[in-house]
Amino acid sequence: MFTPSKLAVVALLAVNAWAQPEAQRPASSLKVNFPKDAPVALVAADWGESQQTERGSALVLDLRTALTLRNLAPRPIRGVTLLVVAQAMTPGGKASVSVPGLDVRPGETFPVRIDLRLLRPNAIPGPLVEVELDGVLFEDLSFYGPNRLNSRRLMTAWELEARRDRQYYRQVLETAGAEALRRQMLEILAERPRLDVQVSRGRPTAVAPSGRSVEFACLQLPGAPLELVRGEAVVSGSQAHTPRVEVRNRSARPVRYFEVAWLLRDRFGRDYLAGSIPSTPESPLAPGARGTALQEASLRFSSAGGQPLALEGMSGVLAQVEFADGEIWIPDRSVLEDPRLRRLLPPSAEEQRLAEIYRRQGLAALIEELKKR
Amino acid sequence: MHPRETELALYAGGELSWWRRRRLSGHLRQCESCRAQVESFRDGRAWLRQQDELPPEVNWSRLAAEMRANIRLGLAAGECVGPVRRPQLRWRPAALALPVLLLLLAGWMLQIWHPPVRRPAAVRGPVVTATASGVELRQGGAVLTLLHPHASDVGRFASGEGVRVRYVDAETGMVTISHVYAE
Repeated sequence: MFTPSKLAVVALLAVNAWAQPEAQRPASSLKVNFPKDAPVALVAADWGESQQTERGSALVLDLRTALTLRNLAPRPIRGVTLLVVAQAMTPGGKASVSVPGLDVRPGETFPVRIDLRLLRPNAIPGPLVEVELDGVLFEDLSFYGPNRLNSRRLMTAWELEARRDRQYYRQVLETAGAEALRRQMLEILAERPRLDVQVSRGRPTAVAPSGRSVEFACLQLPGAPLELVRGEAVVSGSQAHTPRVEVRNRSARPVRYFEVAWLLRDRFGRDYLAGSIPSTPESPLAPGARGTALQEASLRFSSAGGQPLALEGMSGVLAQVEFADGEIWIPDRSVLEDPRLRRLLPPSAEEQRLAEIYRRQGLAALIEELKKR
Repeated sequence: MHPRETELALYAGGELSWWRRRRLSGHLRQCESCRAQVESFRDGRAWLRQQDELPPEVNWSRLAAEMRANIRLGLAAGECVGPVRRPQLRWRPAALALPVLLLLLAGWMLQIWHPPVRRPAAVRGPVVTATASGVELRQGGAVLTLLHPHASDVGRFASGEGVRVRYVDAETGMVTISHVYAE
């Protein structure tokens, strides 16, 4: 017998089931678009827990995918960068996923995970996200790809850092033994102070930069092709606006691009690596000439706990230089052994990878890894 | 908390709905005092049933004659008083149907009504934020977040064009660098 309460419960359940947003498989929402002559091919795509849901007029795409790529080239691959373009974001924004430190032999496969969430106010036809190949770096430092994100420079710098650091740790192993190598790995694994950061592009409005101008402490690296002359940023509370560093080319070669690592100090004397300030795209910096690194953006920093960072001081150190002929300079390992820099600068991607091998598989596996290449 | 006495009485008589009966059974399994009360209600019902039973030597013909006489008397008295019209409870189905209709209407509204999406106020351009779960790009009401759900040893850096995050993928052990650009 149906009582009123039973009828109401049944009706409520029916309405709820009807009103639930419909989840769909999002395979059609992502398009992997590699050129025909690409040196990597998509072998498989695992969609995992991906789903696409409509919430009112908004659309939420939760993409958890692992792409399996195969090296079709006759040379080992050292790094890959995939460009992720969301239709809702063009032309303003895009994203990339890079995997450096690879050693993928011809014919071998490797995974690249892409986990993303896209919320857009209304639905559009066609794929919501397109994944394209921005670049592949090979063992001989040759490069393939459209390089829309300057992947060639980035991946080459990472690969040079990897070679530098592998060479260094092999040397540590040979000269000081396995225990010294273990100590170095433990140092890498030690926690460093980390920042949360928010970046708003463009020149700040009249409201924003009511702060004070703070001068950079310029850290000079012996043997570096550029000298940091001066730098400054407008600081108000936990925000810094338009950081700017002036450099002088003291090498004999024209410089196409350079990057200055930007270090912050809070009012408690703690130092953090905030990021990097890139050079402005001008004509190559001739020997002896002065140039500028400038970031037209407002940056807000907070500690990992969410507390706004009270900025007190800043310093800069040259992080990377690209000469006009495409050759890339990175700081020498001996320079990085300076105790202050060692404490401030984060480990390189390769150091992070080696430390992870040590953490997961132990010292013997790490030593084997160092012997490989 | 113990159930009310009326509920226990209904339970003893087997007059509770399935769901309430099931709930009460659970309680009774653990509560001796309530179980005793239910038993006493059951005993009472059994006693009443026994009292309802008539002795075997009843004179049925005499009983039927008395009943007919009483009915006739009642009908005659009723004709003197006139017909009594009881109000018909027609409002009850309507009252029952109303909440159901409201629920159906709410469901229909949820299906066809698309609430307006709240847009961030006065954002001049794209904003990139590194959060605990990933790097988020907000632009014109849309949000793109590159996530790192299986990441350890996460480092976040402001790059020239946005925010770069470097981490170790816990599943593959590979270092992965996510970069979200705002141009």
